[in-house]
Amino acid sequence: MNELSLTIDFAVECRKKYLELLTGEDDVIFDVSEITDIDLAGLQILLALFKQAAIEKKKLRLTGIVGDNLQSCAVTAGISDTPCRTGEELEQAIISIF
Amino acid sequence: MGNDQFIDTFKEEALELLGTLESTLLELENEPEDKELVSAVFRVMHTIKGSAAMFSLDQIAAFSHEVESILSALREGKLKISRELIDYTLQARDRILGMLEDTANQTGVLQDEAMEFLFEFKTAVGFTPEADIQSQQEEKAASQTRIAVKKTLETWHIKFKPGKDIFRRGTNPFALINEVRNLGETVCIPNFENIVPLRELDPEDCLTSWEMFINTTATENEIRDIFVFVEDFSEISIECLKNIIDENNPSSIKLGEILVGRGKLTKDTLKVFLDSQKRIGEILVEEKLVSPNELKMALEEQKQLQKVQKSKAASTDINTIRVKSEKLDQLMALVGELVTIHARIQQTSKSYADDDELTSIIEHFGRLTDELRSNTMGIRMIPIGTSFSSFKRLVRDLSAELGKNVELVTEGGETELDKTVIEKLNDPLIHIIRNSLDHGIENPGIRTARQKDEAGTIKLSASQTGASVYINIEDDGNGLDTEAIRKKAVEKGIIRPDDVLTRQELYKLIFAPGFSTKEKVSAVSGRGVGMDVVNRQMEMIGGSITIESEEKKYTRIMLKIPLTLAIIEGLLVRIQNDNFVIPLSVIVGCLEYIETNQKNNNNIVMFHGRQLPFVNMRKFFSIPGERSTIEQIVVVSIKNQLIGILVDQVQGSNQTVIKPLGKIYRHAEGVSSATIMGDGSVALILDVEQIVDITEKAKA
Repeated sequence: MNELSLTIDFAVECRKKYLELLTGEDDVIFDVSEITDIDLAGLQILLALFKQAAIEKKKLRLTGIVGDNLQSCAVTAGISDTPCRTGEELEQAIISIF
Repeated sequence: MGNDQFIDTFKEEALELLGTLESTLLELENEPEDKELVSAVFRVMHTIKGSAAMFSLDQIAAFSHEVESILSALREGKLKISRELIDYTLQARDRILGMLEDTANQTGVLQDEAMEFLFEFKTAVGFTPEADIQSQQEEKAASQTRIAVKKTLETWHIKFKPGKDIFRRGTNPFALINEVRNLGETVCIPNFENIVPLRELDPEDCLTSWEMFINTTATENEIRDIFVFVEDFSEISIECLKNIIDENNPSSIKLGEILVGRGKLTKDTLKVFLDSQKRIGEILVEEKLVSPNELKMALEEQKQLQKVQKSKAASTDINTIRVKSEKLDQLMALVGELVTIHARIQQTSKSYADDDELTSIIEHFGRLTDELRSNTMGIRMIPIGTSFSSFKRLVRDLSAELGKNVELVTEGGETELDKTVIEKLNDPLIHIIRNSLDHGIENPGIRTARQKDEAGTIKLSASQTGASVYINIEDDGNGLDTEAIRKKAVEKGIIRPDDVLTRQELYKLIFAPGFSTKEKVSAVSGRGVGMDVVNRQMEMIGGSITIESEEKKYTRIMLKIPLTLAIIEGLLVRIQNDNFVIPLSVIVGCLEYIETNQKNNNNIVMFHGRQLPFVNMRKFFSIPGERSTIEQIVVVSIKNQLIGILVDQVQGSNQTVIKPLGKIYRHAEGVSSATIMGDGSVALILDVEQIVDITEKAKA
């Protein structure tokens, strides 16, 4: 995947794209370093993806370096108190709030 | 309270502040880089200025304002710490002290003399009017800022559930959250529970909500303003936590109740789970009655409420109150009487030993008396360091006057002593320190010739052992010249030329009235009156003095002082028909003694596998009568040495209200003071250390 703007402007497209990620049989690995821009709508999509994966009994794993925008988005939203540097850290923070 | 009473309170506070100012200035002289000390000095002057102005003590206010301006320039780094600056600030402090003694004449403008002093002060430290004007402006700006900041800090609980269509309306909820965060310290807990799985999600719906706890000086309206454009289609609640705390029930903040309040749990369900022993939060999550996130929010609310409650309690509770020391003395005297009355009741009740209820009441009364006694004693205890700090100024000023370089090192300032004892110690310590400065520490030239540091040291230390506090005053100066002391004592007719005296006895001659080996009388010492005061005062408080010295090396004066002059815990013992009290603080244990079982008569028994020498008190006090077949030895620890005290019988513990002995008995050996027993009889309190000393001397 290339650079990704996970914002309200591209929310519909992104949803569609992520649903496709779940069509395979394997667990899903999501490289968050491709997220260059994100807002609350985008964050909701990411969280909804986690919930969907759980329903489909697939494991969603976040990898890669978390970009500045995603870091500050996670802090502003209250997912973590301090910025998450890696996809793994972000994954843990998201799991802990569910 | 009348205005005079307010002024009295101001004076009390100002005296305390000036005490702090003196010690802080001396500290600052040693640590000129410490900015916190500079600020502390400035704050004291600022407080005095403000309070004096409030009570129309114009001259104090004007004077301290001028000094404050100089200190402000110092704080801003426009002036540097110098000996002159410390000197003048100390003098300014003394002047304010003088003004406080005459508050009736402190209205109107500053007197010429004070103006001259300020002019000298400013010139000496290089304080220019420009700096003055600038510092005034800065102070004005700073005080305005302080006023602005003085708005009350409150904790607010904000619930924000944006309308589902907030994205479509073009509003970014994060912008609002960030605005809230900018108001102060914020804890933000999101609620993502309404977010559905991706297949069901309309990505343009906002399904997130937040609860925030913010600590801010902003008002409710200022917070509400942030949400003004979204409030029509969002759910917003803003509540000040202070208003929801039940003042009558401070322990009311319970997690379960918070969850009930949040509508996550019914009262009945809560009751069922409260009956089990597990933590309520864990159970509720385990049982899936609340989600981990809901629990997290409730826990945060609980934490914030507790924080608010604590700060509320701190602001409403008065932590300290000022009480006149005479009232404490009265209280102590009354407690002393109460202890004696308790002993009398206990004694009388022995005739009604069958009455269990009476016995139980008296026991209860005893426990309460004991608690009251120890609490009252605790109130009277103050750290000796409070008086130590005033000696630093004494040493500083006096050493400069004498052209010597002397440093006062203090240790153990936290050691606590009864207030009355500390007050009585002040004069003796001043005299000893003055003598050390004048007679003890040599001039720099002599010190260099003796290969000592040019700067002399006086070490003042305090430590507690049992019921006594030891205060040592040691200087690394001349040491005591025993020959000169003997010569002077013979000259003054204090001793005869052929008197044989031990080294310690010779040393103690320096405390004799009118004794001084100094040829010239100086303003500092030499009249031979000071050290006499030490002796008298120590006798008065039941203390003792020991001196150690080595010529040209050092002199160490050790004062042993009773912890309190009022009440001690004692062990009541009997010899023939007389009662005696041994202070419990020195007692290690007791053992039985049967003389007929002893192989030899050497006054030694075995105690915990070691030989224990003992003193036969019947013999010591020459008490006639038959010895009991079974006697008892009270084992005491004196100077890290175990010694036995042989008595007829140990009777039990005793709260001993100390009564001084009359003049006639003041020099009685082996007793320090007396106490009145429950039946009105008198029991002497043994001076165990003296008993041991006398016995050892007799053996030698």
